[in-house]
Amino acid sequence: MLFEIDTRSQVPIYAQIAACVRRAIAAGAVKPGSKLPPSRDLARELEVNMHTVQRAYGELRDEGLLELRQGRGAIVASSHIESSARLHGLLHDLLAEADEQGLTTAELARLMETMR
Amino acid sequence: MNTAAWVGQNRRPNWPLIGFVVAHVAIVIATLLLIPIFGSRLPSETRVDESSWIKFELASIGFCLLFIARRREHRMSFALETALPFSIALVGLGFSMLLATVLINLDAHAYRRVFESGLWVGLVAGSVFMWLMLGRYLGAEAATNRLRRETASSRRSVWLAEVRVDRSWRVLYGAAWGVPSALLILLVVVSQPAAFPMGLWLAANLTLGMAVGERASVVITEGGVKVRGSLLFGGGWSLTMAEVSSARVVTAEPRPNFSMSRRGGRCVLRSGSALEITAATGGRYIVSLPEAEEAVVVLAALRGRNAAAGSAVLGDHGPARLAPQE
Repeated sequence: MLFEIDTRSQVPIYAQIAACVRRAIAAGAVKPGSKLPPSRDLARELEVNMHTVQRAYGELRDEGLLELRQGRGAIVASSHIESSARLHGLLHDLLAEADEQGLTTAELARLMETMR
Repeated sequence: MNTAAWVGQNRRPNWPLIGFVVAHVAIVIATLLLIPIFGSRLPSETRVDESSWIKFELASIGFCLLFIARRREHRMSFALETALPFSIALVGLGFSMLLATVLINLDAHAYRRVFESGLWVGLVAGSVFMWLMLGRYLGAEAATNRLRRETASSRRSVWLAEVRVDRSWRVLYGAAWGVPSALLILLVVVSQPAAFPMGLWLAANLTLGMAVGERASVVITEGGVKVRGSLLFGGGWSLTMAEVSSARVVTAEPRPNFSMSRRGGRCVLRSGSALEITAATGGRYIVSLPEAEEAVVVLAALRGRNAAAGSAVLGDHGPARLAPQE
């Protein structure tokens, strides 16, 4: 699996790492049940802090995309995973775009409400 | 270049090499000092053990240096990533055996051999595992330092994959190592019944090795390609992007070797799809990889990015010839 980050980007590194995993899951490149690289190994290779990778994995766990098991590492969750990853990826992109345009979360929510 | 105690353009110390040298020297000195320190409290037979294990350690270092000397390419990386991790385990075995002999015979009335006690054989096996892990750690550090990105880019890419053994590796391991070792263990136990605990330990380890098997990690970054086996049976190798000439997908079968060949490197843990990289020096480096096609594409992309950045990493090895092949 390919992880790409840009240290000069406005997007935090943990969010870039999480986005890589989301993209891979949404594209079907990472199958449910597969194991992601240990956070220590990935952090060493990306030359970032291990807690940055752990934060990314934690965010993905909160979204229901990963299962973090003690001693077994990060495992891609098994149910409705591809659509969920795609949706989370789109929402993250949407929030980033809203930030860029100076929209607050409340304004964005109102805008979405009017579109429904 | 990673060729001496000091590496890179900014002359960083080569810590893994220094670590290996210090560890080897320390182990040999400790082995030499053990008997003189505790000699007055030990039976006279332990002097024979001291002589045997010192010879074993020196022979191990000698063989390691021989393997390094006969290597035709990337000699320093071969030494740090393959040969020295193996020799430190052998030298450590010699030390652990002598230390166990000293401890088991301290103030004893009659001489006892380590292999007669299951507990002590287990402790020695545990210490050898520790030496293996030390060698593996230093070897991995050497590979990481070698492939450290030399370009000052804000973009960092890492492609990671893990490979596990399949049935073909287990069958080969069993035939090449299991059967001869089992016969040897049987022969030793029959000729020296006192060695039964040691035979039992060796047989258990062989069985465990076959059941658990080996696994390897494959890492591709802008710096190059790194393959590390979790133990030493799969071997490991690394190539910087400048050393990569071409890459393709091949079909490979496991073979019984410790990557101690004169050129190239193999880490083939299963039958089927594998990534084969031809080095600029001509050596062929192979690793089992179900996602080999994806790896070739990633390798080409990262190499292309290095070239576009005008990086010195590429060197003068000509344009990349990286394409998936059947």
